[in-house]
Amino acid sequence: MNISLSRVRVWVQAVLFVVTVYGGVVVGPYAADKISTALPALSCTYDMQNGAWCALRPFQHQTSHQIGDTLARTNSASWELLKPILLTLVGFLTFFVVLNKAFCAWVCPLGSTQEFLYGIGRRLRMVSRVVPAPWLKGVRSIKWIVLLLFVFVLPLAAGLGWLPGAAAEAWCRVCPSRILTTLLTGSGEQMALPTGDVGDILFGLLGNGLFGFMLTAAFVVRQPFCRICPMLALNAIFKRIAPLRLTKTPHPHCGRCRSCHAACPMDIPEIASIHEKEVFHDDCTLCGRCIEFCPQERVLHLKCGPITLYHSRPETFRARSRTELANGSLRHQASDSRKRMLANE
Amino acid sequence: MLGRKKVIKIVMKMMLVGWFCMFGFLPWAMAAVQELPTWTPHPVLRKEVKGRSQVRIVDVSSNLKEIDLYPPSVGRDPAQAKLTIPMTKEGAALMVHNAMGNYHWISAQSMDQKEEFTWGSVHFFSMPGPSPSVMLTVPKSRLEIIPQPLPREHSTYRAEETWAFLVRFDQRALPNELVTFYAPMQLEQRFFTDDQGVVLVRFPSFPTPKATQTPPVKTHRRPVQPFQLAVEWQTSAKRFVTVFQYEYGPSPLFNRHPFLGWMVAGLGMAGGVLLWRPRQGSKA
Repeated sequence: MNISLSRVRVWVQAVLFVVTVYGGVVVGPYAADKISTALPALSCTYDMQNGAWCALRPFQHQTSHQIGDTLARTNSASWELLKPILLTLVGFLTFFVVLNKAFCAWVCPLGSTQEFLYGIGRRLRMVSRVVPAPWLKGVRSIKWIVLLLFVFVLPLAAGLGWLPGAAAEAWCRVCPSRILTTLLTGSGEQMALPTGDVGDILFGLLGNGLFGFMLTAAFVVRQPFCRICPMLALNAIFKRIAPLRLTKTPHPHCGRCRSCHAACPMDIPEIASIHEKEVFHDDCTLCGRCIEFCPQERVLHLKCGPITLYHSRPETFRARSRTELANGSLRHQASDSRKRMLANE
Repeated sequence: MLGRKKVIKIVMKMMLVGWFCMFGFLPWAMAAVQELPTWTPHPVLRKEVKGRSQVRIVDVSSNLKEIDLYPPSVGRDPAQAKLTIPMTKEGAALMVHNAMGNYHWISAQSMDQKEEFTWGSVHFFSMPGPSPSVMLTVPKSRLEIIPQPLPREHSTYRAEETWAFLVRFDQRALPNELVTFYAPMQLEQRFFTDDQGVVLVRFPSFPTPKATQTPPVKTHRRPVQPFQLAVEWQTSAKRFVTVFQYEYGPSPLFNRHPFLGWMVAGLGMAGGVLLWRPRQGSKA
């Protein structure tokens, strides 16, 4: 049977979007207690209606409240300092090692929102933009800088007393998911610009500006925020030991059509040009679009350990290509614009 | 006419009295005024936080003999029972061990033949621990006020917000019962429970210091003030009074500007819209 992975993914995203944004309405108060122990890293702590908890929050807390405070008090480093952060790391990575990169494309409500907006952009026949090849290296490094700076360095500096308290949760104050999920639950509080002190204002300007930019850029750029998200970097660290992965079997025709590259929402050119293990790139979110748009039999695979969950097939490629181009544009719209272009010529 | 020496003597005496008033009696009197809260007719217990694992409960205006501390796992783990700590002049030192933190219920009772008074509050020990969901519903006294829900670590009671509390006696909900809200600056309000014994309390606003005057605490810098919810219940034999004391902060938009927030987001949106333009040289 020819199952469309994208269709399955849309349903999974829709269900998890409701759980991660409105889960509290379904399971009642303390939803985080009931769901987060099973799914410890799903959504935003600022969203009081959600059913989950974001993994980046404990990281900032441990770095600021535990490590920073203790370092400031004892003026020395020891195993006791690292224990809390390692425990947090181990705790949520047991979840992340299982899902790992698939979190981004299947679970994250912010990722789903950006995908939805890009879909609207395609239907409105807006231009589609990809990150230019010379910029790719620079853009890819931003997520690592963001992870290091906003999740570890700034909260640590706040814990040590070197920076104002606003820096203790530096990433949360910038993260667009905080604004998005709270707005979706009817609260405009997080959208209001903090005006407490300079730190509050700076983080507020950055966070609100980034949120606004992400909203409109997502109509023409696929997953604009995901590219700099520290969660992607965090997942990339552990992708080697994750059972879920993208693999590729070398094929003589591979690299000619570059359909997989065009289908990739993260614009990863390496999918088309390199083979085997390296194809599972740091930026890959395991959405599976490249597999659907690969015209060759069993070249790209989505695997869980040794088990192949899904692989490329010519018939899947033909079925998907009938309605949609690899870059996400609708087939009939593309045909219309081509006809118009030919008519003009 | 008074002689010059006499005038000097009178002035000296007046200065002496003034000095005593200023530096002797007045501070003592002011301290006494501070110690005795006037915003509530009920006893107020003060929390003095000493690190992550310790808090001292100081009895300001009553003679409570001991404090009961209910861990968050009470009601779930049979090995975890309430701890009773005697109240001394310096207060009752509550301490948690083995990194067992999270929200703990603090309770104090005084009773005689005619009246039973219960004071309750919650303290968050900033360490990992089980969820307090069950702990809140475990019976702790005959007449109870139970937060439904309790605002958790990144949430808090805030002015202009409405929060629910369950009022029950012997584990039965009390419908149509008067619940009185007390807070400093005479912010007294009255609410009534509904048919299910739930009272919806809308927290009143209070004047907040300017942003620059907020206390220089490193992280949670929002100013807060205490409040009490009190309920009374009379049986044929006894009068029961229960007070739930906690704190609440200013409204959600304290130190926040909605219009500026939308404006900055709008500027970001404008930046994103720049990407909508077709690239130079492209036809489609």
